[in-house]
Amino acid sequence: MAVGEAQVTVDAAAHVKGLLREVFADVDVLRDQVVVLCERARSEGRRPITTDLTEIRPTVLAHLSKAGRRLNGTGVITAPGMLADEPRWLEWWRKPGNTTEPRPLSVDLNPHHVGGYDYPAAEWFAVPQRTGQRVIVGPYVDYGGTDEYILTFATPIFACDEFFGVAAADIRATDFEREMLPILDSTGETTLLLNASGRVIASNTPATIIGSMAPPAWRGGGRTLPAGPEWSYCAGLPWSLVQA
Amino acid sequence: MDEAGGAGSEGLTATSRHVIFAPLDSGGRVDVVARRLSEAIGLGLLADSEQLPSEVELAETLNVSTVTLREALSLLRHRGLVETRRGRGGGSFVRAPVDASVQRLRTLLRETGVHELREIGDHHVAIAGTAARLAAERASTEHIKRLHSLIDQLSVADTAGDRRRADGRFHIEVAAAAQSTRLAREEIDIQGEIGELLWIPFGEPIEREQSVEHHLVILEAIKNGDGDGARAATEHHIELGIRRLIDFHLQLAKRDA
Repeated sequence: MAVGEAQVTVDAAAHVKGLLREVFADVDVLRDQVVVLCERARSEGRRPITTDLTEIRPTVLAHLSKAGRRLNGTGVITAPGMLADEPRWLEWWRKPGNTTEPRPLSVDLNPHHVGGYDYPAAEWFAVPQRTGQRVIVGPYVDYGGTDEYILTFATPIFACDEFFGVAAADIRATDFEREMLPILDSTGETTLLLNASGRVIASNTPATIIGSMAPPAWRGGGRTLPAGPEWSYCAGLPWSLVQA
Repeated sequence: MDEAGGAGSEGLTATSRHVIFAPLDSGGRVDVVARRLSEAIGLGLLADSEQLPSEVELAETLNVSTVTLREALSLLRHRGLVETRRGRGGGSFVRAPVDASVQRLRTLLRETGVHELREIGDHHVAIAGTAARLAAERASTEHIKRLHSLIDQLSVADTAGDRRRADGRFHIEVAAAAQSTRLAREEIDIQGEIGELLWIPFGEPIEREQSVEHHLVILEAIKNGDGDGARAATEHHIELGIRRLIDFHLQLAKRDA
């Protein structure tokens, strides 16, 4: 039986809220671990190094294994100059193409190379750095990095009174949409989920598919998700649900 | 009058003379003359410390006035590509760029055949042209902003490496704005293949200012949602670069023949 517009909004909001809570709870655990290891290094009178960061690895792998297909990758990315032994660094594990075996993400970190991963300029890094807020970005092409079409959920890490980097998690856009489709379909109507810039995150119509920009008339006309004041400090929201 | 004259141009082979000093049909513009000579030096067609023909002789063969030629030479002196010595044994002499990568790039361009250059160009047109068309449909205001800032970076990029990076990034970012991981990946690969050749110091097939203009036209079309315009402008930009690389390749081949 088809559910009404009010109900689908409630269902979608509940799903999105639950997902954000779950993802950010795990990301926050990584952030807290990094804060601890930074402060320990400082108490020893030194800057942290890459091997310090490997301490979070068991937790990263546990998060990936627990999340199953939902999570494509997770870990920590350091701000340039924060580590004593590498100018830029990622302790990041992922399941390429969502294979089961997690692998460390290996990228070209040289900012002078044309195909190098220029992550300090990426929205998921620059926004938490600038605002101190969490951010949700995407769907977007993570070129030079994972080379996948993803959503990224990132939170800033402040350790020893400075911005150390971000802890984050990626969900492949296609996996996120797969989760949302049953809810969108439940009304029997054309229903789309849009991000804050009006880009389609999930859609049940071939006319306006994931990744496309929604027609201007539809932007801002939907019901905002997820409801609730707890997300007001997260950049990249609100998303909105539109029925056409 | 002829203080910069000299023994002439025995150092040049007949063929390179023919190419470099062929009359300019586009008239006597200073920048055109300067560009022709600058390219020849950048590509190594004119060797380091080689003496240029006398001003009168050079002006005549290039079909420009001596005033124009002198202004062009003064531009080149300013860029450190030509040195003028006065007096006995004086004249204008080539000062080749010392950048170690230049020689490697000339060799690379010399060894990349015309067919291969055309193949790379065709591939690039297919990828970047489609990316631009799709970006016109799918770019958000954030993408437009980033593309603008990459054009700004190119307009002030002084080293070959910085130019190459800002130029390559622009095309990669267009593919990302098109929401295509595949087109972005392909664009990165193509930039890895052709990027260096597009920014040979002093031998750029498209000069920085012109590239900036082209990028602005592409971006304007993307911003206006004009997919066909964005594609056409991108194709024009890439095809011009490849045509000129092929021209340079043939000049290098002629010199070595």
